Order: sequence, then C-alpha cells, then structure tokens
Amino acid sequence: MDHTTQIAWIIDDDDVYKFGFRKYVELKKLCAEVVEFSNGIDAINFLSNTANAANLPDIIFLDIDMPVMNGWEFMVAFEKISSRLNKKIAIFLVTSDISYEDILQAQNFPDITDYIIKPINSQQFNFAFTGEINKKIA
Amino acid sequence: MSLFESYLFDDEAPNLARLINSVNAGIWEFDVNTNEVKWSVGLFTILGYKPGEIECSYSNFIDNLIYYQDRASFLATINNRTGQSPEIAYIRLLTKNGYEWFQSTVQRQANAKISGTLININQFKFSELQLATNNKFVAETNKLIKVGAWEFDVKLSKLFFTNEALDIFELSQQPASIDELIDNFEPEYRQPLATAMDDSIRIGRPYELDLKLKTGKGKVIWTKIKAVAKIDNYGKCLLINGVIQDISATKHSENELKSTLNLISHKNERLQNFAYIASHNLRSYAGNLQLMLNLHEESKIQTEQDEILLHVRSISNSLNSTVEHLNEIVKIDLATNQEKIQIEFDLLFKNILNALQSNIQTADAIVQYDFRECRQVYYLPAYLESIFHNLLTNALKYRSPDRQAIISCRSFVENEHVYLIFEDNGIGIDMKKNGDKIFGMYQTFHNHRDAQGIGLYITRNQIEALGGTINVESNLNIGTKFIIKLS
Repeated sequence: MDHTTQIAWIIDDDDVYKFGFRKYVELKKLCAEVVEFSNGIDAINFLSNTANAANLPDIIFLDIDMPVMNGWEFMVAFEKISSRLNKKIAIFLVTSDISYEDILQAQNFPDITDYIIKPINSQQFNFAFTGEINKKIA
Repeated sequence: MSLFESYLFDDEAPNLARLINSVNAGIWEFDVNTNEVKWSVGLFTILGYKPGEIECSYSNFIDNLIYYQDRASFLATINNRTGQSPEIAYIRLLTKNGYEWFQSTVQRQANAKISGTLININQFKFSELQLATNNKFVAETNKLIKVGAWEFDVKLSKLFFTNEALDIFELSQQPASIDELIDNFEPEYRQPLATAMDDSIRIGRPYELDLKLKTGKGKVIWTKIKAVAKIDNYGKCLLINGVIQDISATKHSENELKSTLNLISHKNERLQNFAYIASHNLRSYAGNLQLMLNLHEESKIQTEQDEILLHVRSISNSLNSTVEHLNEIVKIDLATNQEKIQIEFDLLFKNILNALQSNIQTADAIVQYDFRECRQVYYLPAYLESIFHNLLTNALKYRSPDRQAIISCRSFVENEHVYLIFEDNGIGIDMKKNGDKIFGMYQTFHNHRDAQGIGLYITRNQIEALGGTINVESNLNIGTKFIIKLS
C-alpha cells in the first residue's frame, strides 16, 4: 500500500485536537500529508479554487461545531461543488456528542462516509484510513 | 238542615246560617259574658270531624285543640280591645290527622261577642316554609361560594342585583345601567365585558369571563361573570340572567401555581442546558487529554514528548477555566436568594463606564444612556453590574470596523415591568443562522480572537434566574438590539 500519496484534511476549531491528530497520523505514518483548517469556509474556498486541483484531499475529518461555517453548512456547500472535483473525497464527521439528531442529519448527506466520535482511538483511525484506501484500490 | 246546624247559628237569619255553614271555613262566635260558644259546621269539617263529634267549648279549643306554643298569640288576638280591624294569627290546631296550620281571624263585636274564622292554610304554609328553607339554603350557599345573581331586563333597560351580588361589588345601591356596572371593572377588562354584554343583548350569545373588579371599597378582586340570554319566540333577547362569583382565592393560587411552574420549567431548562454543556465541554477535554497521553506513549523523541506535555498543560488550563465558568453559572442560581436593593441605573452605569474607560477609548466608541423614564430598579447589584459589563464589552468587541461605534442604553417601565434596551451599530449577528444560539454557552460566531462564548450565556442566566427575559434583534452589518425585561 502506498500511503505517501495520501492527503488528509482536518477541519476543526480545536487547536489542541488538530495538533494531536497531526502528531498521531505522523507517528503511525497513516498518510503523507495533513492539512488543517479552522472552519468550513476556508476549506470550501480551497476546494473551489481550480488552481488547487492537484492538491485535493483523499479524506476529510470534519468537526460539526465550529464558528463562521459549521460542519453541516460545509456539507451543503460541498454538495454544490463536489461534481466539479476530479477526485472522490471521503468525509468523516467527527464530533464529541453522540446525538441521534446528528446521526439522522448525517444520512441526508450521501457524501458523508461515516460518523466518528471524539476522541478517536487507533481502531477508528485505522478503519478510516485503511478502509478508504482499500476502497480505492478495489 | 240538621239539628246541629240549626242549633249552631239558630238565632241568626236562617239564610245567613245556611251560608255560614256551607263555607269551607270554620266560623265561631264567643260570648264574653256567658262563655257561650258557637261553631259552624265548617269548623268541625276543617278539623276532620262531624258536627258534634267533639265538644264545642271555649276550654276544649284553648286547652286541647290549639297547639300550646300558638296559644299565646291566639289569645292575644282575642284579648286585644283596641283593634278596630280583624286580628290575624297563624296557629296550629289538632285535627283528626294531627296538627295543621290555620289562619285565624278574630273580630270583636259591639255586643260583647267575639267572632272569628279559621281557614286551613296547611298546604300554603308548608310551601312557604319550604320556600323559606330553600331561599335560606340558596343564600347561604351563595355566600359560601361567593356567588351573586343579577338580571338585566333588556326592554326596560333595568338592571337588578341580588344582595349577594351587591356584597361582591361592595356597593350599597344597584348600579343604574350596564355602563355603570362595567365601570366597576378594571380598565383593561371593560372592553371585553362591554363586547360580551353587547353580543348577549344583540344576538343572545351566552358568555363567561374572568374579570378584575374594583369594589366600592376600592379592593381589587378577581371575579367570574357568567350570563345567559332569555329570548322570545322571535329570537329577540328579553332578559339576561347572570351570576357573578368572587374567584380571588382560586385565581390567586392559580397565578401562584403558574408562576411557580414557569420558574421551575425555566430552571429545569437551564439545568438541562447546563448538563449538556458540562458534558460536552468536559468530554472534549477528556478526549484531548487521552489523545495526548496516547501520543506521549507512542513518541520516542524527547523534543516531541516535551511538546506534547506542553499541550497537556494547555488542556489543563482550559479545563480549569471551563470548570470556573461552570462554577460561575452554578453560583447564579444560588445567588438569587441574596438581597435585592434599590439601584440607581445612572450611578451603576457610570461605574461600569469608568471601569471600561480604556476599552471605550481604544475602540473610540460613543456610549449614550438615558434612564429618565425609569431611574431605579429593585435588583441584585452584582447581577446588574455584570449584565451592563457583559453587554458593553460585547458591543465594543463586535463593533464594526467601517464606522464609529455608537452604543446606547435606556430604561423604561411597561405593565409594571422594568425594561432595558441596549443597542449598538456593530457587525450584528445573522439571526436566521444563529438566532437560537446567541445565548448558548461556548457559541461563537465571528471567529474573533477574544470570543469566548460565555458572556451572553451568563447574562441570560442571571436575568432568567431573577425571573426576567432577554431577547435580541439583529441585522448583519447594521447592529444589535437587546431587549431585557429585568423584573
């Protein structure tokens, strides 16, 4: 498996979590590059810019509660531009709450691959990364 | 004509004797000098006897027939020598069926004779007694449940109140008209009553209203007024029958219950909200701590481990401040039992302005205030201070970069409640998107580096803990207006 081509995005307003996430991915060598965003709008702007077509992520870890543009709003904006992206992106919703409403709402967005609950443990990490990679190989 | 009949009034004209004996009433005559007594056939008959079956004598009548308690009143009518007109007494006589009520009329004649009539009024007396008992029962019941009746004769435009109704109104005389009746109620209840009364007269619609009444003695009480219309064959309203009830006690406990329920459901809502944020926030710290510790275990490099520990420290600091925030919120409900005092808005606001002077200068903001409409409020000083401080800090923090910040605060009274209006011309909040979150904890909307998402949450909790409300109106890039009901 060639992990070095993988780009993972983390969209979250929690700086500590972002640091931990990056460190963990680096330690476990889960992917080549981690890109951080603090809210949805910066990520959408990046995706919308055709100049960045070569640097699109393979996988996005998306927080729900964020200022300016939260996870749900990001999904609405993402659906509008996803057809123009030349890459299939896996999106994992990450949150610290297990709320039934959130699970229901996640089902409204077919682009959401799965739903994981903070703090994510190594099992969930491995599942998210390798699962997605296997899908790509298959 | 029988022997007895002829004997009884035989010295009278025969025609008259026949007439007397055929009347369904007892007629008697008593000679004061001779003690001689004459009874008509009717007298025997109304007592249930045949003529001559019982002894026709003064002593028999007084000693045996008349009920002992009625004896005195009967004798009084006989012995009264002054009266020119017939004396009437109501007495009980022992008939063959037991005691029954009779009306006795006694007339003193010129020839030392006394004559009288006896008419059986038992049925009538019974009905009367029944009626009196019923009336007493109704009156006592009405008094007990504080109900009075009234009636309005539409044709005569005449109003009638029972005594119980007058008691409720604490009036000594009948209100002359519907308008006068309506004027007894508190101003805000006059229109609904006038409309209901009008509908009742016009189309015969019944009504039931709870109204505040100011009694003749100036007491304000809650009353329930009910009315039904009596209509004629053509559907025209003839009469309105109504009752009015003093329901102050019920209303009072109902209102008390309502406000308690309100207070409790608010408190419950706050507690639920608090539990949610507590678990949400603590969970994310716990998650981060766990993540860092895992990393620390996995990491082999010293510099990396040091960096991770640095983050553990920062998590610990944030956790601390969150716990402090939570503690602050818990204290809000505890502090509501503290003593409220009369606070001068002017004085307190100037204090806050002084405390925030450097912030105001840095922001180059204009702060205006006007507390002339309502100068004082009975409140917890620490809370009011905190409310002013939070709102002012917020307005300064979220001022627009495009224009000079103008912040204004004023107070007024409406329906006995003290209101504060706090307005700014700052960047505003997208109400459609975030309107429901603005007073939530750790909700930030502006990506502002100082935004903590705690100020407005505390402000709302402080206001609601003291039974007030806070609402917000805002337009992006125009400004924000907070409407606060203090008490």
